[in-house]
Amino acid sequence: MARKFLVTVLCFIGIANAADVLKNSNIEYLDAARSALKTAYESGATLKAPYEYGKAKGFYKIAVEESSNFNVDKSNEAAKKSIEWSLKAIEKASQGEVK
Amino acid sequence: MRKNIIASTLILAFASNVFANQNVDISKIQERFDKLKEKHALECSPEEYGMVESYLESLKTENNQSVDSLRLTVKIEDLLTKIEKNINSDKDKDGIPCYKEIELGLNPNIPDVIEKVKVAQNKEPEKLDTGVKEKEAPKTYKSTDAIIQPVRIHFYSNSSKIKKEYLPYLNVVAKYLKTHPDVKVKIKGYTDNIGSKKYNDKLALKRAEAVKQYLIKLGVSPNRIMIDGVGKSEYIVSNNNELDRFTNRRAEFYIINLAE
Repeated sequence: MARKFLVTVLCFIGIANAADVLKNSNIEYLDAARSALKTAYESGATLKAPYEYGKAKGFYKIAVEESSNFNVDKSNEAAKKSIEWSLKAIEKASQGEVK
Repeated sequence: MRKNIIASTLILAFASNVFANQNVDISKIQERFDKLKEKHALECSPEEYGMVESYLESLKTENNQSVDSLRLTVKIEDLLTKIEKNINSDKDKDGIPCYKEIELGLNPNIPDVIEKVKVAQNKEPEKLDTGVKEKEAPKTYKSTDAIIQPVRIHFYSNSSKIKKEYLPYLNVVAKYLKTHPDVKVKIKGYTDNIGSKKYNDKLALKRAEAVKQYLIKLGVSPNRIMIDGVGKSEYIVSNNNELDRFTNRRAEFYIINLAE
């Protein structure tokens, strides 16, 4: 009986930790996307690269929404796309369009 | 108590059924977006345009009947309304809406005097001030004038391809050159401030060369066309935003009257 209880507790701890890791990685993605978007904004992307900035912003919003619906994979994907577009916006804003 | 539970369960089931039956029609949204694209949505409202694109991309991968899709659709509709508003807005308060200014090759952020635009449209032979944005056809100039006012065409970023909408202007130039054998034309290519000087000099020359080749194709003798690439200088407006840079990416015609 005691052994069963111990196994159940350990399983519970394991699942909780795994969920934590998943959650953390999603939060990390979201955090990276947010900070990339912030950098893009600060580098003047709203004026110099508004299209790229808009795309980054759109994907970030999608990532946040998917995260709130516990769609971790979709959220991570959208966050990655947001980071990608933020980088494009930063590049364009700092040295202009890529030629 | 039981009755209440049954009733609320039934209501919930009915509501969710109704909700699930609402099909998200992406094609309608896409159609509306395409119409706005034709009206220069990208130039007039680039940020919202980008957001709509990302939402649409996400919507296409979503299950068509999910609640998230419905929520996204509402957001897209809002953004499209915003874009529509920006397209018809008059930021510089010169009485010309944004999309019209883009069509005329003007900058929607800089006020243009309406009279000047009207003159340019009517192609009246009038000397215009070397203002920022007017496009004039060469036939507006008196034959005694060595052309003072340049004809201007604009290019996409990093491209020397002539945009379709400028072809009629070039046809007018070619016609003018053919009917005035004593006139030579100098085409100067310009770029915006982005990229290295060396690259831009090359690109500017390529733009001038593209226009030259088009005129030759229309039957103008190559001996009468001189080209020059100016590159990263002689901007018309500052390079602060995409529209300003678009204004600066240009080729200008300077007509030299040999009779003068």
